[in-house]
Amino acid sequence: MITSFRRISASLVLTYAALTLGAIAVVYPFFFMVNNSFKTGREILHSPTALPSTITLIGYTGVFEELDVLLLFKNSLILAVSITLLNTLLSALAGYAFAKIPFPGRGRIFGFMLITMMIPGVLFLIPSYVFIYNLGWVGHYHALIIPSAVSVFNIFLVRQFMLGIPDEIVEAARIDGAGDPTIFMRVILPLARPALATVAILTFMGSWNDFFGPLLYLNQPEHWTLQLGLLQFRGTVPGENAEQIWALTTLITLPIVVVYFFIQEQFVKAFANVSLSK
Amino acid sequence: MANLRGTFVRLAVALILVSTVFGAMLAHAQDTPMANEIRVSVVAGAMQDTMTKLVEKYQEANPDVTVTLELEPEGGAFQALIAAGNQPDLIITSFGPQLGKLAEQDAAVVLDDLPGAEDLFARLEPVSLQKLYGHYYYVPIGADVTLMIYNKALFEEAGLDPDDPPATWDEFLAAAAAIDALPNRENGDEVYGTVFWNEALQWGGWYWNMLQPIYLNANQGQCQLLNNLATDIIFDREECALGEFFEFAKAAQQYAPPTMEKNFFGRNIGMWLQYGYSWEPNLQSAAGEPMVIGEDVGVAPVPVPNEGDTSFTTFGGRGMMILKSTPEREARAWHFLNFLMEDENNYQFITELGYLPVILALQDDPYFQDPARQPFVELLAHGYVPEQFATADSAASALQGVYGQVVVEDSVPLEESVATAAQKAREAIQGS
Amino acid sequence: MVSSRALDTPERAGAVPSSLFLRIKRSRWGYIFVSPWVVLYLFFGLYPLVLSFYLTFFDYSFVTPENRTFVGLGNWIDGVTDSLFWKSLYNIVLNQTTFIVLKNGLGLITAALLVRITWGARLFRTIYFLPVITSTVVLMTIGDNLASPGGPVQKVLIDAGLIAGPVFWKSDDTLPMIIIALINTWKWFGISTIILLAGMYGIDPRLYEAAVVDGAKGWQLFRYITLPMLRPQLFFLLVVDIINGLQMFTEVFSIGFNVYGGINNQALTPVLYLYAQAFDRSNVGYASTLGLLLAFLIALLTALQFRFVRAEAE
Repeated sequence: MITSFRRISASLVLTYAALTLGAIAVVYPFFFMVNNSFKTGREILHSPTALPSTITLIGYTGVFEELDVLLLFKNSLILAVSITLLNTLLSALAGYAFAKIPFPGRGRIFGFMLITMMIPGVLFLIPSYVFIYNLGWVGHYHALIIPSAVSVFNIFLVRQFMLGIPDEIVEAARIDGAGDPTIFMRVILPLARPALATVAILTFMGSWNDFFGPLLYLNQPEHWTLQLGLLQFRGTVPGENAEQIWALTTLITLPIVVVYFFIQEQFVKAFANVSLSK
Repeated sequence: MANLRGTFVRLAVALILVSTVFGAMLAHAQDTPMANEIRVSVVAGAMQDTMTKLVEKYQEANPDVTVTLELEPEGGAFQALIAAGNQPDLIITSFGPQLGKLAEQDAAVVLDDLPGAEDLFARLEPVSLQKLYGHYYYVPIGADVTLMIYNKALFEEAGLDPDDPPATWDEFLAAAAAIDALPNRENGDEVYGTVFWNEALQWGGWYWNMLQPIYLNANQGQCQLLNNLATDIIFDREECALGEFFEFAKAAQQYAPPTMEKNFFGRNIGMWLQYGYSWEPNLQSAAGEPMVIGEDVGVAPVPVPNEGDTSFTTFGGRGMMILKSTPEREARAWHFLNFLMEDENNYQFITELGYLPVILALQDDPYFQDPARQPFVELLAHGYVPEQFATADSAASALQGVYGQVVVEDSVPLEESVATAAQKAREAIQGS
Repeated sequence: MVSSRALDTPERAGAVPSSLFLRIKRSRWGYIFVSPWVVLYLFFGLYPLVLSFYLTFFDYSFVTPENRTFVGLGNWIDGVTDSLFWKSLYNIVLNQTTFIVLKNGLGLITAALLVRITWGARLFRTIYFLPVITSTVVLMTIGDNLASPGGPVQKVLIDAGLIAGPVFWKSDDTLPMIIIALINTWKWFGISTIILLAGMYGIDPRLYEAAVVDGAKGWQLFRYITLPMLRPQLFFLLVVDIINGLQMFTEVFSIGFNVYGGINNQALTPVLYLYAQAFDRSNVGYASTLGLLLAFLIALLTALQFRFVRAEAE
């Protein structure tokens, strides 16, 4: 740490004050959401910022009555976990290859990969749907899992991190006769845990929060995800079912917060060694 | 030892890759559409529940047919479905540009000559039917009207007769002024004469449906926005009285809060010109305790410029369309549509979901003759279906933009309002 | 793991394999490891991309594909001269400039504060990261609620005397993009904080000690040591932010503007416009053109950034 600053305790107090203020500002909208989930619809409409006059669970009981929350949760989980596992594994492999295996054409393929990040995804919406429909995957989970099995951004992230792993370690293993798979499994993977944790949390969060994908491809109620469950409460009248909407939104947000809390140490480590070199 | 490990890893990786990418492809061939299936798209929530019950009833009577309900596709998703040939057979969609678009794109079936069509249309409220490009493309299933709702308690407090709501513009403005002058409520809320949903100006042309009754009253039903071919706007013509519309809206806005935040159900607003029948649930959740039509609130037609004028309204509601596919599927969809339009079934649909009857026979039903509902039903005969062409949406959006500048922000003077609106609307249509 | 083999195969120790074939054979795992992505991309990325490119030369609607007409470069010319497209570009540049500066600036300040404390660092980090992991749609709805003319934020501003009355920011010409940038800053600054904080943890303390000995004070330490050492992280953030930011779509979509970004297109972004053309006007050919034009612009900007960095490094 920067030792010279530690002696000045007044600035430390100021620091904590600033951080706390910031924390309050950041948390307030969440508080707003959770707060409203315990109010009646009437109160949400008329006094959105006040604390509930009486804490009601109407929102939550309404959600559990109308929806099979466990089923939705299970579906969201299946999707999110599959996509996360696949992504973590495949982007780790590709990231290692781009970072540490000097194969001919590597630079060109990587450059091409970067370019694909710049093309707006909306363009792919219809052609992808037509293609997936013709494969017969519409209405099945793999319509969402396979196309998202590995993303360019994740590969990019892992690669950047792995560039920071000293070449000597890899070279030493090669000299010892280890093939790339072995190097990957025994040398790289243990070192890459922060990067993989980062990929995991970001991918999980992306899949968990995805609304439009499931809307397009999973139209049977048995396959609905939590995000689609929100649709159930969208009435024609604004303000209708407000309690349930806020309650469900809170329920949807909760799991990711929990997951993140356990992984965050790795997340920080991942970005310590981000390198500039291409 | 190391070699064995490596081989194991290689095998595992290969297996994962192969099984996930190709195994799924082989295992599931394209789902063939079920024989005798009808796919109906509905909105999640209450409509889904009601339709499920109706579908059960239909399938009992027609055991060889399977009706599946699916979610109404949103915007882009719909196009994707149509492109892939995966579209539903029957859609129950809101009045508005969606209907016009599907008709224009030739994605919907023309209904005029289908068996029993003439008889069906004869049973319906004539003004709820609108021909697009010279044909009937939809059958309305239920309607909604806009009118005025007013707070009786505030009327009394302001010294106005709660059973004699304002009928003309001048009476309305006088009442609004009187209520606006009342002192603040106990909880500190200001009292306003009326309220307009100004946030909704940005949301697109559908909000014009709420404002349109004032405009229709001004020109006594002579003009909507477009000409018959939907190629140009007509509202800058003298007889369409758009200038009067702006004048009244601006005068009324001074007694209104800037936005809908302080909404009618907070009991501090005297009158609201945008009320619709399907908003009854909101009365239940009004501040304090539920409001009841007839007791705490009254409903009345939208005020007119001069005594004796007719009061008009705009229709909200939903219509059913059959999407083109194969003759057999289209025929089955038509059969199901007619089932939904049988008196008994339609009655169930509209009472459970809060719509007004478009079937003339149902309008006389005791349920709809109840004093709480009868005023709404009476207005059905003077309704206008919103113009469903895509150009109407652009024109309305442009008009709303100018409305915001003239009425809400005061950045465009009243004298220039019509000309500016016409110019913006023409530009918007040009770009279509 | 030391084996005797290292001693009796001098080629392995560093000699370069001679032929291309041999090199490919040696590094075959490189290809195998990237193949999943390549295969997936061929089907789900390249095929739609090529199809989209093909469609830019047509006036095409997916509903009635048989009516397509060849228009050659017509779409491309229309795209480059389309005033709405330029307006959307102006909007997104306004939005992103605000956003990138605020997000990373705020992240930098927060990281600088966090690096000075030990107790509670973990808690603060979790809190600041909360918005990042929440769904955009949810946050935009909350943000819309809070920033609306009758909402709490404006109420506070009015009470403090900073604004005269409720502001209808949605109908203003520049405010929507700025306010969306503010909401987005709040959502994403946590990730900048964490990335920059991690970078700060990695700075060798001896650099600071040496500078202090030379008489450098707090602000100078920050400017001459911290900032330069954070270059890789800042660069990474800038590149990624620009690529993602120029494609902003969901945020405007879920905050209550129609598909044209409001009545005066004040909230129109390029991708939103693309979406409107494809799904509202069924102009798929033209929409594809716009998308590719945008991609080209993004690629140009990114290439410039890389070149700038390389020039600096020399």
